Amino acid sequence: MFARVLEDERRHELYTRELLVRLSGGEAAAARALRASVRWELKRTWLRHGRALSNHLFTATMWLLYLVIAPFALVMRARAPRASGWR
Amino acid sequence: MTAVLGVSAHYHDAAAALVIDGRIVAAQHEERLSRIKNDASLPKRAMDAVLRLGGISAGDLDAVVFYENPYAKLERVLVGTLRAFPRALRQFPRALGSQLGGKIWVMDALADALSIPRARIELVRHHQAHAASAVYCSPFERAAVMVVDAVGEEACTSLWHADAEGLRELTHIDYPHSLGLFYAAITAYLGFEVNDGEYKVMGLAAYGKPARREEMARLLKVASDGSYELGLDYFDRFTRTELGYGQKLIGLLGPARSPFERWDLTTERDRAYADIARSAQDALEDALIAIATEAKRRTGEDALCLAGGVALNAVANRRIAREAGFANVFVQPAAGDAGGALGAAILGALTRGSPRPAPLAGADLGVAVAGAPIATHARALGLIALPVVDVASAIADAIAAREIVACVQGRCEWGPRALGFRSILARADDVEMRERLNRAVKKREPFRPFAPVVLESDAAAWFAGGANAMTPFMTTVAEVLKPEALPAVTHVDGTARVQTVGPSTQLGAVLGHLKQRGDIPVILNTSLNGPGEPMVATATDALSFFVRHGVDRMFIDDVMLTRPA
Repeated sequence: MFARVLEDERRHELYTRELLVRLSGGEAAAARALRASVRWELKRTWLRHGRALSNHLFTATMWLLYLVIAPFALVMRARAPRASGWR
Repeated sequence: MTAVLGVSAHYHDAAAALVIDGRIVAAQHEERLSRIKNDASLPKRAMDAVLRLGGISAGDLDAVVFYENPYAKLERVLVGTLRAFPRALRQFPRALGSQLGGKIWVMDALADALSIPRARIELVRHHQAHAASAVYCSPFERAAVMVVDAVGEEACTSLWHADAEGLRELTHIDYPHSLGLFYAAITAYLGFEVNDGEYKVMGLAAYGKPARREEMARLLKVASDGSYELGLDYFDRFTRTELGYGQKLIGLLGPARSPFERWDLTTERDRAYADIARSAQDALEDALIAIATEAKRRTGEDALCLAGGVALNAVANRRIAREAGFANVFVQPAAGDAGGALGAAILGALTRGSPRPAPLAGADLGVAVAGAPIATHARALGLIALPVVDVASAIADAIAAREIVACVQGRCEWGPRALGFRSILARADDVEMRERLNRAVKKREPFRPFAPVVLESDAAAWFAGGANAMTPFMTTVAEVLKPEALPAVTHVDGTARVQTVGPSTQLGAVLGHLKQRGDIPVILNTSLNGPGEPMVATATDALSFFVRHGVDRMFIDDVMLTRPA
């Protein structure tokens, strides 16, 4: 089954490549377009990693902030306990 | 000219509304244009649509009013998570990220989107916008106003008094004691999606018995002054924010229902869940009646206006109208957060000296359709598109012939209910129509009812109490007087969420034709959308719907679409 899938995938690669050559205007232009897409993919990977890293940094900073300001929470609970009913 | 744009966004149900010289010119939900159900993003399409409908550009606006104060909301989130220290440790970064990453900058985002100076963007309070949307669309000069939702900036329930001097807040109950959050937690517990499945709980409740009243009394305690308190231990707002209920609630009521299981109310297990739905619905209704009674005591008014998402609970609205002591009750069609956009626009207009808007005559405030251009596209798709001279008569003929008819007429509805402008219509006296409609299009849970529409003048003959201030917008239910004659629209408890129309409306004309023919002058009316889709808005959406769903006939403006034999 995998051999047949692989054969099918190669066929997709071939006709996609042929289409790229035809639309871009030749082998050289197709190679340039492929290099540009590799650069684009690298940039996206860089941005994805940057985003993931900044998310982790943000979470860690917020946790730290939460712990730092915790004493204020205790003061608030003591001085202004949450009320229910009409205000 | 004084033109004010109101905007609601960033939670659920974004919308825009335009008021020019005290007249409500247009109001549009973003989801209907973006085609994303409950779209909460900044409503750029809706803002653009209402400005086009008003014939003005963003530069002509005197003000853009946002329906809540994001800074006050940020403060509530901060203080709330700090109070819950250390339980909210995981929630804190998420809550702050959501606020600081977008919501707090809404005034800048609006100024950018509309290319207008930031100084023209204003804020009102969430419940103030809700209250204004209710009372200033109502037919009452003076009224008590009750706002009940999940949470605004801080308030979850508020009482207001409107008279010639304006709209004043009397009192409020603060977060986390929220009836909206109580009902949302039960909705999630029963396996439905929060902010979308609450009306399913309402429909399911009719199949249950109030067997879990004692447990509900632990979740929601109502005091003699109409105030209430949640048993906060049962709700988990910090570690299970998407559900809202905690392990203690599971210990009280039993295991939560999986959202992936099919409902079968012949089983004991699902009947037990129906009992929970019924008990929660009863507890909510009791709390709402207590609040409304307090509103009556504080204001002495004869009329009550309701707003906030909880005001869309049509079953509760009927009990409020009967038991809270008011002669009249009004709920505007978009009582949920979308309606805040309209309230914000009205408040902005009143501040600038515009007159109070006329009472809302109809909910057709959104984008319009034209049949002729879409007929060309329909023919290209191989459909039959024929011009029709008397649309109402043709619709009546199709309904009488037991067809499922999609009706796309005029401007689309404001609010979650289909009121005849983007509706699917069918015979109400044939239960097979309901089954067919469910199989072909809606694919709803078996316990959800369909609604009827009737002429105002005929309402008393078919539904107890006849027409009232809520029935034009389908925001209440009524007892069906001849349930055996209307099996397709009568719920298991013998009620229906009835809509009444005047004879001058197109739906009124359809009913008039049916009456003339000797047919029952009540028809089934449900929203023009498939499962999980927002209601259709434009003619293109309508054509797409017709291609995908098994309705027999569609009327877009004066064009009738059918499929080739």
